[in-house]
Amino acid sequence: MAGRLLHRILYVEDDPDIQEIARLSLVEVGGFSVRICSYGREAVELVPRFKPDLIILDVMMPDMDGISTFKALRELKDTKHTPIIFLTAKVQPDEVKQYYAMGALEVIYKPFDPLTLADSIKQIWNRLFDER
Amino acid sequence: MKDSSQAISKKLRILMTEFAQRLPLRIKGMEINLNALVAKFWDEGIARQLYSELHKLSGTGTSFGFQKLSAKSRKMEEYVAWLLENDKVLDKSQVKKLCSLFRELQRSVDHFRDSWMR
Repeated sequence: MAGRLLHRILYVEDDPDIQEIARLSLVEVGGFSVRICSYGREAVELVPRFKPDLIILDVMMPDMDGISTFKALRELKDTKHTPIIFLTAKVQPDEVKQYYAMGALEVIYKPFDPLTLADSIKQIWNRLFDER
Repeated sequence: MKDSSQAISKKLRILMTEFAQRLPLRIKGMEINLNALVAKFWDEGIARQLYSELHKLSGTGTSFGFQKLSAKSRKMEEYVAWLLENDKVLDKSQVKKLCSLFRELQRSVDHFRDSWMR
Protein backbone atom coordinates (compact mmCIF):
# COMPACT_ATOMS: atom_id res chain seq x y z
CA MET A 1 0.00 0.00 0.00
CA ALA A 2 1.35 3.41 -0.94
CA GLY A 3 2.13 5.44 2.17
CA ARG A 4 0.83 8.87 3.04
CA LEU A 5 3.53 11.51 2.80
CA LEU A 6 5.05 12.49 6.13
CA HIS A 7 5.51 16.25 6.13
CA ARG A 8 4.37 17.94 9.33
CA ILE A 9 5.81 16.86 12.65
CA LEU A 10 4.97 18.28 16.05
CA TYR A 11 7.64 17.64 18.68
CA VAL A 12 6.94 18.27 22.37
CA GLU A 13 10.10 18.56 24.44
CA ASP A 14 11.04 20.92 27.26
CA ASP A 15 14.83 20.77 27.04
CA PRO A 16 16.12 23.60 24.79
CA ASP A 17 19.30 21.69 23.90
CA ILE A 18 17.37 18.60 22.79
CA GLN A 19 14.95 20.87 20.90
CA GLU A 20 17.82 22.33 18.90
CA ILE A 21 19.39 18.95 18.11
CA ALA A 22 15.99 17.60 17.05
CA ARG A 23 15.31 20.67 14.91
CA LEU A 24 18.63 20.16 13.13
CA SER A 25 17.89 16.49 12.65
CA LEU A 26 14.26 16.73 11.56
CA VAL A 27 14.39 19.95 9.55
CA GLU A 28 17.92 20.08 8.12
CA VAL A 29 18.55 16.37 7.75
CA GLY A 30 15.01 15.07 7.29
CA GLY A 31 13.45 18.00 5.42
CA PHE A 32 10.26 17.89 7.53
CA SER A 33 8.12 20.84 8.49
CA VAL A 34 8.49 20.88 12.27
CA ARG A 35 6.91 22.75 15.15
CA ILE A 36 8.39 22.34 18.59
CA CYS A 37 6.47 22.97 21.80
CA SER A 38 8.06 23.15 25.23
CA TYR A 39 4.93 22.10 27.09
CA GLY A 40 2.08 19.66 26.62
CA ARG A 41 -0.52 22.39 26.99
CA GLU A 42 1.15 24.42 24.25
CA ALA A 43 0.92 21.38 21.96
CA VAL A 44 -2.75 20.84 22.73
CA GLU A 45 -3.44 24.47 21.81
CA LEU A 46 -1.35 24.32 18.65
CA VAL A 47 -2.65 21.16 16.95
CA PRO A 48 -5.93 22.55 15.58
CA ARG A 49 -3.88 25.10 13.61
CA PHE A 50 -0.80 23.03 12.76
CA LYS A 51 -2.52 19.69 12.03
CA PRO A 52 0.54 17.44 12.31
CA ASP A 53 0.91 14.17 10.40
CA LEU A 54 2.97 12.80 13.29
CA ILE A 55 3.58 13.78 16.90
CA ILE A 56 6.72 13.06 18.91
CA LEU A 57 6.47 13.31 22.69
CA ASP A 58 9.08 13.52 25.40
CA VAL A 59 8.01 11.73 28.59
CA MET A 60 9.55 13.71 31.44
CA MET A 61 8.17 17.23 31.20
CA PRO A 62 7.04 19.67 33.87
CA ASP A 63 3.34 20.36 34.44
CA MET A 64 1.91 17.96 31.84
CA ASP A 65 4.11 14.94 31.21
CA GLY A 66 4.20 12.89 28.01
CA ILE A 67 1.49 10.48 29.10
CA SER A 68 -0.92 13.26 30.11
CA THR A 69 -0.16 15.06 26.86
CA PHE A 70 -0.83 11.86 24.91
CA LYS A 71 -4.22 11.47 26.59
CA ALA A 72 -5.12 15.13 26.04
CA LEU A 73 -4.20 14.90 22.35
CA ARG A 74 -6.34 11.78 21.94
CA GLU A 75 -9.31 13.77 23.25
CA LEU A 76 -9.01 16.25 20.39
CA LYS A 77 -10.77 15.75 17.07
CA ASP A 78 -7.65 16.78 15.12
CA THR A 79 -5.29 14.31 16.78
CA LYS A 80 -7.60 11.49 17.81
CA HIS A 81 -5.86 9.15 15.35
CA THR A 82 -2.57 10.97 14.68
CA PRO A 83 0.39 8.58 15.10
CA ILE A 84 2.39 9.40 18.22
CA ILE A 85 5.97 8.38 18.97
CA PHE A 86 7.48 8.63 22.44
CA LEU A 87 11.09 9.81 22.48
CA THR A 88 12.37 9.02 25.93
CA ALA A 89 15.33 8.26 28.11
CA LYS A 90 13.06 6.40 30.52
CA VAL A 91 13.57 2.82 29.50
CA GLN A 92 11.91 0.78 32.23
CA PRO A 93 10.27 -2.14 30.40
CA ASP A 94 6.98 -1.66 32.25
CA GLU A 95 6.81 1.98 31.22
CA VAL A 96 7.54 1.13 27.60
CA LYS A 97 4.80 -1.52 27.67
CA GLN A 98 2.44 1.14 29.00
CA TYR A 99 3.22 3.48 26.08
CA TYR A 100 2.43 0.75 23.55
CA ALA A 101 -0.70 -0.26 25.45
CA MET A 102 -1.90 3.35 25.25
CA GLY A 103 -1.50 3.21 21.47
CA ALA A 104 1.91 4.73 20.84
CA LEU A 105 3.19 4.01 17.36
CA GLU A 106 6.77 3.54 18.55
CA VAL A 107 9.18 4.32 21.36
CA ILE A 108 12.54 5.82 20.42
CA TYR A 109 15.21 5.96 23.07
CA LYS A 110 17.35 8.95 23.98
CA PRO A 111 20.08 9.68 23.38
CA PHE A 112 19.41 9.73 19.67
CA ASP A 113 21.88 10.23 16.88
CA PRO A 114 21.05 13.58 15.25
CA LEU A 115 22.23 12.30 11.89
CA THR A 116 19.97 9.23 11.86
CA LEU A 117 16.85 10.28 13.79
CA ALA A 118 15.01 11.49 10.69
CA ASP A 119 15.69 8.20 8.86
CA SER A 120 14.44 6.22 11.84
CA ILE A 121 11.23 8.21 11.83
CA LYS A 122 10.78 7.74 8.07
CA GLN A 123 11.22 4.00 8.51
CA ILE A 124 8.67 3.89 11.32
CA TRP A 125 6.24 5.94 9.23
CA ASN A 126 6.67 3.72 6.15
CA ARG A 127 6.24 0.59 8.25
CA LEU A 128 2.95 1.97 9.54
CA PHE A 129 1.56 2.02 6.01
CA ASP A 130 3.20 -1.25 4.97
CA GLU A 131 1.35 -2.95 7.82
CA ARG A 132 -2.02 -1.61 6.72
CA MET B 1 19.22 14.30 3.00
CA LYS B 2 18.15 17.88 2.46
CA ASP B 3 21.33 19.65 3.52
CA SER B 4 24.89 18.57 2.84
CA SER B 5 26.52 16.54 5.59
CA GLN B 6 29.29 19.15 5.87
CA ALA B 7 26.77 21.90 6.57
CA ILE B 8 24.96 19.66 9.10
CA SER B 9 28.21 18.91 10.89
CA LYS B 10 29.00 22.61 11.04
CA LYS B 11 25.60 23.41 12.55
CA LEU B 12 25.94 20.56 15.01
CA ARG B 13 29.29 21.93 16.10
CA ILE B 14 27.72 25.35 16.72
CA LEU B 15 25.04 23.70 18.87
CA MET B 16 27.75 21.83 20.79
CA THR B 17 29.60 25.07 21.47
CA GLU B 18 26.41 26.75 22.69
CA PHE B 19 25.77 23.76 24.94
CA ALA B 20 29.31 24.07 26.35
CA GLN B 21 28.83 27.80 26.93
CA ARG B 22 25.61 27.22 28.88
CA LEU B 23 27.06 24.45 31.03
CA PRO B 24 28.38 26.63 33.89
CA LEU B 25 24.91 28.11 34.41
CA ARG B 26 23.34 24.64 34.45
CA ILE B 27 25.91 23.40 36.93
CA LYS B 28 25.37 26.47 39.10
CA GLY B 29 21.62 25.75 39.16
CA MET B 30 22.32 22.18 40.24
CA GLU B 31 24.70 23.38 42.92
CA ILE B 32 22.02 25.68 44.34
CA ASN B 33 19.55 22.78 44.45
CA LEU B 34 22.11 20.42 45.93
CA ASN B 35 23.04 22.91 48.66
CA ALA B 36 19.37 23.43 49.50
CA LEU B 37 18.74 19.68 49.57
CA VAL B 38 21.70 19.01 51.84
CA ALA B 39 20.90 21.93 54.14
CA LYS B 40 17.40 20.50 54.74
CA PHE B 41 18.63 16.88 54.78
CA TRP B 42 15.79 16.21 52.34
CA ASP B 43 13.16 17.98 50.29
CA GLU B 44 11.35 15.89 47.72
CA GLY B 45 10.57 18.81 45.41
CA ILE B 46 14.20 19.93 45.31
CA ALA B 47 15.38 16.34 44.87
CA ARG B 48 13.02 15.89 41.91
CA GLN B 49 14.24 19.15 40.39
CA LEU B 50 17.86 18.05 40.79
CA TYR B 51 17.03 14.65 39.29
CA SER B 52 15.36 16.30 36.31
CA GLU B 53 18.36 18.60 35.68
CA LEU B 54 20.78 15.67 35.87
CA HIS B 55 18.56 13.54 33.65
CA LYS B 56 18.50 16.24 30.97
CA LEU B 57 22.24 16.82 31.15
CA SER B 58 22.93 13.09 30.83
CA GLY B 59 20.66 12.78 27.79
CA THR B 60 21.77 15.92 26.00
CA GLY B 61 25.44 15.21 26.66
CA THR B 62 25.15 11.78 25.07
CA SER B 63 23.25 13.10 22.05
CA PHE B 64 26.10 15.52 21.47
CA GLY B 65 28.62 12.70 21.88
CA PHE B 66 30.08 13.89 25.20
CA GLN B 67 30.15 10.45 26.78
CA LYS B 68 32.42 11.12 29.76
CA LEU B 69 30.44 14.13 30.89
CA SER B 70 27.18 12.20 30.49
CA ALA B 71 28.55 9.25 32.44
CA LYS B 72 29.30 11.47 35.45
CA SER B 73 25.90 13.10 35.23
CA ARG B 74 24.17 9.71 34.87
CA LYS B 75 26.01 8.38 37.92
CA MET B 76 24.68 11.19 40.10
CA GLU B 77 21.24 11.00 38.45
CA GLU B 78 20.99 7.31 39.35
CA TYR B 79 21.97 8.01 42.93
CA VAL B 80 19.37 10.77 43.29
CA ALA B 81 16.78 8.43 41.73
CA TRP B 82 17.72 5.78 44.29
CA LEU B 83 17.35 8.32 47.12
CA LEU B 84 13.96 9.37 45.78
CA GLU B 85 12.80 5.77 45.91
CA ASN B 86 14.38 4.73 49.17
CA ASP B 87 15.17 7.53 51.57
CA LYS B 88 13.37 10.55 52.83
CA VAL B 89 16.02 11.84 55.23
CA LEU B 90 19.66 12.06 54.23
CA ASP B 91 22.28 10.71 56.62
CA LYS B 92 25.84 12.00 56.71
CA SER B 93 27.22 9.34 54.39
CA GLN B 94 24.55 10.10 51.79
CA VAL B 95 25.28 13.82 52.00
CA LYS B 96 28.97 13.05 51.56
CA LYS B 97 28.27 10.81 48.57
CA LEU B 98 26.02 13.39 46.91
CA CYS B 99 28.65 16.11 47.33
CA SER B 100 31.37 13.81 46.07
CA LEU B 101 29.35 12.87 42.96
CA PHE B 102 28.67 16.54 42.31
CA ARG B 103 32.37 17.44 42.60
CA GLU B 104 33.15 14.67 40.11
CA LEU B 105 30.56 16.14 37.76
CA GLN B 106 31.98 19.65 38.21
CA ARG B 107 35.50 18.43 37.44
CA SER B 108 34.23 16.64 34.37
CA VAL B 109 32.47 19.82 33.20
CA ASP B 110 35.61 21.92 33.77
CA HIS B 111 37.75 19.42 31.91
CA PHE B 112 35.24 19.20 29.08
CA ARG B 113 35.00 22.98 28.71
CA ASP B 114 38.80 23.39 28.80
CA SER B 115 39.19 20.96 25.95
CA TRP B 116 36.13 21.96 23.92
CA MET B 117 36.43 25.74 24.12
CA ARG B 118 40.18 25.76 23.50
